[in-house]
Parts: sequence; structure tokens; C-alpha cells
Amino acid sequence: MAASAVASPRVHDFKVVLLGEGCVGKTSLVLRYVENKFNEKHESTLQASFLTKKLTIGNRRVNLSIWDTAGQERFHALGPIYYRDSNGAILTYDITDDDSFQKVKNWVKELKKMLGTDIMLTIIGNKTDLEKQRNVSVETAEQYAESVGATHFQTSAKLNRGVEEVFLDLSRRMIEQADKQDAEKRALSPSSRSTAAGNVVLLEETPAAPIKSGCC
Amino acid sequence: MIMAFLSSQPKRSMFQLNESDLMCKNACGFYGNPEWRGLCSQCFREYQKKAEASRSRHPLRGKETLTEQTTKHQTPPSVGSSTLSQTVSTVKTALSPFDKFVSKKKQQSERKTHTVKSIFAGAAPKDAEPEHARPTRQVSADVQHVVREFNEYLQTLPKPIASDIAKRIQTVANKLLDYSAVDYSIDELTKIAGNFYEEFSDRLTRNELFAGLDEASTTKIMDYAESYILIRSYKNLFCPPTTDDEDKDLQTQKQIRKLNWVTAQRLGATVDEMNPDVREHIDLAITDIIEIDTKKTVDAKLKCVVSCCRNIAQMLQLSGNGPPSADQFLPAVIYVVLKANPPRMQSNIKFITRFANPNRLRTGEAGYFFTNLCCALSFIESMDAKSLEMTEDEFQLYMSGEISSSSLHEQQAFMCDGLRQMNKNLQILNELKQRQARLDEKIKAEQELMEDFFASCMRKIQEGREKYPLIVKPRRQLPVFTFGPANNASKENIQDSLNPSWADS
Repeated sequence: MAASAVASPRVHDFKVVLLGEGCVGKTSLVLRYVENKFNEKHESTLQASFLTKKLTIGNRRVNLSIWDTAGQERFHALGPIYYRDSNGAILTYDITDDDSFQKVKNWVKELKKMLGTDIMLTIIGNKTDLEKQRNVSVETAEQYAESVGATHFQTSAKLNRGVEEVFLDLSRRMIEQADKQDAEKRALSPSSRSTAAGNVVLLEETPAAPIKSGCC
Repeated sequence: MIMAFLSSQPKRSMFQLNESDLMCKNACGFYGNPEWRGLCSQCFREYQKKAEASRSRHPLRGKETLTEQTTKHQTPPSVGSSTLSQTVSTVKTALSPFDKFVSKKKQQSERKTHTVKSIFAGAAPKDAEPEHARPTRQVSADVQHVVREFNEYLQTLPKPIASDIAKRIQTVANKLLDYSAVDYSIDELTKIAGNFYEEFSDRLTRNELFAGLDEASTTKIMDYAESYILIRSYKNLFCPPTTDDEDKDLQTQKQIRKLNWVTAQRLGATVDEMNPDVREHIDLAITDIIEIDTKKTVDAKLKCVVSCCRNIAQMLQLSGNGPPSADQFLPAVIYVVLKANPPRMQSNIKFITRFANPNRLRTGEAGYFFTNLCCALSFIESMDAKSLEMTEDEFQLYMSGEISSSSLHEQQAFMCDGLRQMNKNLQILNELKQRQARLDEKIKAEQELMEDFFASCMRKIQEGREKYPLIVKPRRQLPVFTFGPANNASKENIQDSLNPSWADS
């Protein structure tokens, strides 16, 4: 396909937001993934709220920017500022805490409302090392994930179980989505050449000057 | 394309001119009439009387003024407007507040006519000679700096690429400059910039002309392009009069001032304020955040944001354990914003969100930190009792200032400031003391060495004397130089100079 052939050398810059209640292990998860650390004091890591990772999937190069968000309830209203323009969202809950799973559901609803289907969702049940204290059953979670078009994973940041897969799967889906959007764009603009010469077009479209007399 | 722009422009500017020029040029407060040379009926009558009187006295000069008048009537409207404005500026010497308003208006409309004329300049350069210097006149040191850097960078690129880039960027920069000068709505301007970024970056990645460029240089070109197109119109794009940015700035400042009682603990930020290093980083972060307003490019502003946030992260790392997560980071940012009360924060944020390359804000550290800053500000704007987990009454009492803002914690923080200073001073004193002691020791050693030296000298002299006793043989001997007494004197001198300092220490 012509579209993918042109797009393949392009580097994909993806923005991924981490959402979830406080203390579900969002930060540990990314730290484990990006730096393979858990709960260690490391001078080298200045902060864990913004991390990047470079991936190569197939022949595609992907730059992931992973944005951690504040999980406290009082900052809930700021969510839209964080997840604006993101390609993917990782919604984390603590398998020992049913409340955190309910929060995930809220987030999903909100994301769907604000961003529609453009954003790829991944739901994660973290802390599988605490299997004995599990409060959210795998079936419920998986069923729910399927119903909203998200993928579901079980991880343990502490034991480094399932972390890698989460990001790999999400990246793959984000690439697919990006290809789809590219194709749609192409379909909308009949020839790609006209967009390439776009600067000229831009000059010609003189804005229909909403003239306001500056009276004060 | 330009034609369309032109045809819409002059009409617009004429309308603007008429509106602001309605007043009598004599600034008497009545409306003037172009037929009466822009004066009101009263003033024009007086003017005529004077003219007549002078004509009767000096018939020749009267003629001159008449011809002047006729030529003035023949001049095209745009030039006429500038002569009119000159009249105003000559009258301006004795101004009432109202006149100031008029002249301000005047300046605004003049600015507009300038831009219109500068567009004409290409077609009819002789019409717009004095205005031709427009671009250079507006160039400030900041602009020069950006332009120079960009030019230097362009020179490192192959020529066809450089000229293509320069051409495109120049076009957009001029467009922004012209459009912003005539008070286009801010959304239109944002769209112009946004379209440019999208198409330009698309071109950089897809056009075969740029195939040889790697990712780093593409980003660099984008950054330079962003700085360049924005800096030239910065005055018009930053906090433009067509928006309510300024009011919002004031509101935010007021709100932050009212919230001066909010402590780090209330926000849930883990800030160990007793730790002097932590305080140091807070101070640095505050300086950075205030500095944002002084920078003129998105790039420089974002650099301040990043530096500020790095300081915050460092501060959190010192106060807590391990790399801070977003749960700790955001409250700390809010706390720093509250402490700093940075000037024109809303305008700065709006400027960046409107005109920065959107890709830069979407990914990358700067984008993340900037988003956090936006969040912090948004949180502060809508801060209420619930968001601070306190009762409504308590919140109101604090807000109205009925409960003293200097809570226990605040006092501790202040005391901590004093203590910090004291500790620092004590440290310095200690250091000084140690240095003094070292100095004393050295002086002592030096003195001992000197004494030894003198003793050995004396011994050697003594030995020499004993070995070769001086026998005075009159006449045949040359005069002998005796240095015994002189030596003694110098020894005393040195000891004199040493003694006082030694005794003191």
C-alpha cells in the first residue's frame, strides 16, 4: 500500500498518559519499564513523572513519551489538560482495591467522551504479586475491557511480570491507528501533491477578515 | 492573492481613520469636518479670520498658504491622513486627558496606515519612502539575536535547502507581522501559525529536497522557524489587546495573593522546608518561573519552565525518597507557583499554547512540564475548600484574611529562613576561624625559619671572622666593607614588622 510505504521511514511520536488512582503503582510501572528499577533510590533518575522510550517494532521506529498524571482525587478535573492529544492511555488499577477499578471505569468513560475512538486504551491490573488479597476478579476486568474496546493486562511492577508486553501491545495498536488516520487524511485530500504545495494554497486563502473596528 | 488582501485593506484603514479623526483638530472636544480642514465650525471660523487677517497684511504669503491648501486637498487619502496626524501632533503640546486618548487612538491608526503603506511599498515605492524603514525600525536586540542565530545555522545547510527554508519562513513571518499589526483576531493568527507548522514539518519530512536532513536538524529548523516567525510580531502576539489576557493576568495575580496562606502541607506536597538545600531549590525554581516573562521566544520560555521543573524535581528528591512521581510533582508545582506569583502567567501560557509548534507541546519533556504548569494554574484558578480538603467556612475565613495568614507552619518557615541564614553565617565564621588558625601557624613557622636563618648567618659570619680575623694593614689594603652592624639593624627591622601581627594573633 502506498500510504504505508511513504509513512514507514517516519518516526512515530506517541504520547501515552498514565491514569489511575494514587498508589496503584503507575509510577513503579513506568520506572520498571523504562529503567528496569523497582523502589530503588537512584540518583540518575531525576524524576519519574515523564519518561521516554525508543522502540523499533517491525521496521517502524517509535518514540514513546510516557506522561504520568497525579492520581489524587482533587486533581481529577485537570485530567483533560493531561490527556489532550494523546495517542494512548494506560489505565491502572490495583487488583487488591476495587475502588481503584471503579476509578478506571470513570476514566474510560471520560476519555471516550472527550477523545472518542482516536485514543488506544489499555487497562492494567497491577500488583499481581499480592494475588492472595485480590479483590477484582480477572473475568470482570477482562469483560469490562472488552466491552469498551480496550486490552487488559495483569502486571506486577515489583516482580517485573507482564510490563514489557503492555507497552509493546499499546505501541502496535497506536501504529495501526496512526496508519488508519493517515489513510483517512489521504482519502479526504484527493491528491497528496496539493498538500505538498500547501504553502501556496495557504497564502491564497485570504482570511475572510472578521473586521472589527477597534473602537476601544 | 496579495491583491485580495490589498483590496480589503485600504477600505478598512479609511474607515478606521474616519472614526478616530472625527474630532476637531484643535482638540476643543467638538466634532470636526474634513471640509473645514478637520476643524469644528467654531475653530474653522477663527482659523479663517486669522488667515484673512494675515493675507491682508502679507498678500504674498497668503497666496502661499492657499496653494498649500489646494495641494493638500489633492493628496490621496493615505498621505492626507499622515499630514493630518502631523497636525494633531503639533497641537498635542497642550493636551487634556481626552487629547491623550485621541492621540493614542491616532497612533494606533497610524500604525495601521504604516502597514498598509508598507504593502503598497512594493507597488509604488515613492509613496511610502519614510515608512520603508518599518522592518528595521521595529528590530530590537532580541530579534537581532534570533535572526543572527538562525542565519548562522542556515549557512551550515546546503544552499538550495537554506534558501527554500528562508523564503517560506520569511513569507509567514511577514504575514503574521502584517496581520497582527491590523488587529486580526487571535484565532486567525493562531491558525496561520498552526497551518505553517503543519505544512512546513510535512514538507521537511516528505519533500525530496530535504531528504538528506536527519531528525535532529529537522527539529532544529522547526525550532528556529518558530522563534523567527514569532519574535518579529511578539509585541502584537503576546497579550494582544483584542483578548482579555491582561484581565486574566490580574485576576490570577489577585487570586494568588489571596491564597498566600496555603502551605505545602495543605496541597499535599512533600516539601521539607527545614532542609536548607530544599529551600535553595525552591528559590531557584521561583527565579526560573519568574524569568519566563522576560524571555521573548517560545523556546526560551520553555527552557525556563524546564529548568524550574527540574529544580522542583530535585527539591522533591531531596525531601522524599526516590524519583518523584506525578502524585508528588504536581502539588509541588502548584506550591511553587503560589510562592512565586509569577508576572503575566496567563499571557505567557496563552502565548505558548497559541503559537508554539503543537508537536513540541505534545511530546517531549518541555511539553510535559508545560502541561503541569497549565494544570497548576488551572487548579489555582478554581481552588476552593474542597480541593484543599477543608470546610467551606474555614476556607472563607482564610480567604477574607480573618484567620491570620501566618499559621504555625508559615512562622516556622520564616524562622527557618532566619535559621538558615544564621547557619550559613556560622559556617562562614567557622571557615574563617580555621583559615586564621592556618595563617597563624604559617606565620609561626616562617618566623622560626627566619630566626634559624639569622642564627646560621650569624654563626657563619662569626666562623668567618674567627677563621680570617681582620687584620688592618694600613695603606696597601683596599678599604674593607664591614657588614656586621648593618646586618643587625635589618634583623631588628624584620622582627619589628613581624612582632605586632604575631602578638595580635
